[in-house]
Amino acid sequence: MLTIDRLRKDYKALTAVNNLSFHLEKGDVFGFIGPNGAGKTTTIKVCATLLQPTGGTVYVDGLDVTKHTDEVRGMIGYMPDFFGVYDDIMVWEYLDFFAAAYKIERARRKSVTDDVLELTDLTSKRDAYVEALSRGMKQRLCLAKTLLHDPKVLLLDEPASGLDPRARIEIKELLRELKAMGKTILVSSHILPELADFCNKIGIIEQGELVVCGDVGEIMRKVQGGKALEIVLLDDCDKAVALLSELPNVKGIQRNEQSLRVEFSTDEVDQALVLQTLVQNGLRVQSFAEVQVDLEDIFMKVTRGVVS
Amino acid sequence: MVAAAAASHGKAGLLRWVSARLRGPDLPVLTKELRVRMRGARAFLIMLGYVVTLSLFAVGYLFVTTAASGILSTGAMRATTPDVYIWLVRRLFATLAVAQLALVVALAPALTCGAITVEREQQTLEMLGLTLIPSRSVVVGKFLASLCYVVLLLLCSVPVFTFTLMLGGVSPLEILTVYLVTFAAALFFGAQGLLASAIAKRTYAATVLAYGLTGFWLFGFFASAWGPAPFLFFCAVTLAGLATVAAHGLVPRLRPGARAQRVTHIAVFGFTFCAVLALLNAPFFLDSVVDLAMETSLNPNPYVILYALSLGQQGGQYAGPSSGYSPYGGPYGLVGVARTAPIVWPAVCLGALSLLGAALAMCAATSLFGAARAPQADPPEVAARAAADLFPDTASREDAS
Repeated sequence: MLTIDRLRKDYKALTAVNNLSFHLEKGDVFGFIGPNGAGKTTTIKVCATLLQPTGGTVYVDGLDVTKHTDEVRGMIGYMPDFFGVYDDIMVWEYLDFFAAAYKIERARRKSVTDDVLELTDLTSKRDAYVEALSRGMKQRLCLAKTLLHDPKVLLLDEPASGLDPRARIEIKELLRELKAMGKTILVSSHILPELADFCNKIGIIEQGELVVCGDVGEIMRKVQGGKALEIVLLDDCDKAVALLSELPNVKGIQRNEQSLRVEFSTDEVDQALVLQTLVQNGLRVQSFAEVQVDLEDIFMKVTRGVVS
Repeated sequence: MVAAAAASHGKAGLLRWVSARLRGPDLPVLTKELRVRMRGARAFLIMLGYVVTLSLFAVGYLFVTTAASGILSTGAMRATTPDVYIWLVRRLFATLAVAQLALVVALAPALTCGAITVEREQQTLEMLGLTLIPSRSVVVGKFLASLCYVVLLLLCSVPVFTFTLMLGGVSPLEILTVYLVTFAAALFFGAQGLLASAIAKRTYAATVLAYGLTGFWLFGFFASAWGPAPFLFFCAVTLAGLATVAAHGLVPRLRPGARAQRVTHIAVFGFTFCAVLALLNAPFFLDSVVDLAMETSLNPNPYVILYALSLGQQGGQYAGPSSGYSPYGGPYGLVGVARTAPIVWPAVCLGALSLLGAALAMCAATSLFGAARAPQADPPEVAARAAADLFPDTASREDAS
């Protein structure tokens, strides 16, 4: 549905995106992750037919975005990271305007705007002025506007940035609903937990290059490369460290006051043996748990030190 | 058919049936702007200010002339000859017309020069540009919205003008003509503001440019009336502009990118209009150099005619208070049509010319807006550097050869 082939985009002083390629199938939700200034917005803007690539090509549903600009514009819904709203305009007028601008016939406009208002939970704000909405509502309104022409591909640039936790969760719920509707979604963020739950693919970009890209589970396995345990003891950590380092497959132990983080080089760890070793040697274990490696850890591992 | 529709749908159905047939082409931008324009106090304050300014002008004018000559004061009024009275009312009328024209020329570019730059500044241009709306529809919609507001202002001033009709000495046709001239000015100078808005990136720059264009065109309109020197200067600017455009079009080396092409577009539109204007003014320039025995009162420029009228001259020539025959029986009579300034046909011509100028400016604005919403290419130097980087072989080969 969306194919990026060796994309490159140069600005005056730098190459913002270099040799970036990935492919999204219909229904994919792709989390596009990277620190600020890594090239996420530039990539999305090329996909949204706002910028011409310096090199490489982007295809939406098989159409080159620079050659079939109008057709592509009819298929994509783009939500910019920063956007403004018109003054003195009501929510329904705003949507009605964009519906007309997307060439939705007069007869259908009302039902279409009502549908997107319903979907974004803004029906009660139908007659409110746009500039009086809260930031989260504006974000949802912009998303509603993006959905008017029923686009196949959604390009969402930082849809949850600058929102309070509640508004964030509302946006997430909305994205989950869109995923269920079978839309292909590319959503960018510089914060990982935002994307962790509903993406099936992720790509991590740094300094214009795609560092990691692929299925979320696969990447987790690849990057993780072994389990880690977190153990909190009530006494004598030195003895525990000595005992644990004797065990097979232990890669390293980090000590932080009374808690230990034990990393193993394989996935198959005999956790019972570890616990048994500690307890049999008279150490009092307060807690014993497997460390959950999440996207954030992956991100930190993959991008370590490259961006200052 | 209407009856059938009424019968099948009832009253509301008939309304819907009629309105569906009355609706023209879909101009979403116009609909939006019209909905928004009159919200809040601003639009109404401008209307108030407009009418108050005009009225003060009229009252002030009457007061000043009365104080100066004493002819309109109650006692002296009866002694005034009908000619003097009519002459005064006509002066009042022409002064009002010139004042209204000046107000509209000053307001029209201001109403349109933010049309596109404001979208950029409030970060809505990207989203508007990505919709499927044709660029033409955006430009025309914005323009018509401003024009509607100017028309509203003009309607507000109608009572002020009927005041002169009541005093006598001015014909309804003349008032209509003055409105035509003013409307033509709104059309033309409004379109210049829109063009400036499409050229400039920021509203303040667009404002400066819009008034620059307005000044230039006003100069063009008046050039022949002011005499040979301004006219020749205007012609020289026109010729130089056309020559530059021709050079741009003919010499490929001078147009390296899309940007230069856009500049060429605007210049072609602008200087073509310059040439038309210069050609129209040419006979009067010739007349002033070699006497063609043309009557100066036939100067086809309604701006000049109105201005001359307001100074107490008739059709460009000073007629004086007691010249000619007056059809009026008395100073208070509201009799028929008074002497008419030769302004109707010039006004119609000016209307056509303004329409042409506005159309040209809108074409240029459309092409500029279209270019602004297309996928933005790299600037030439960036593209060249990237090409050298991507295909080092070809670049070095070019260097070698």
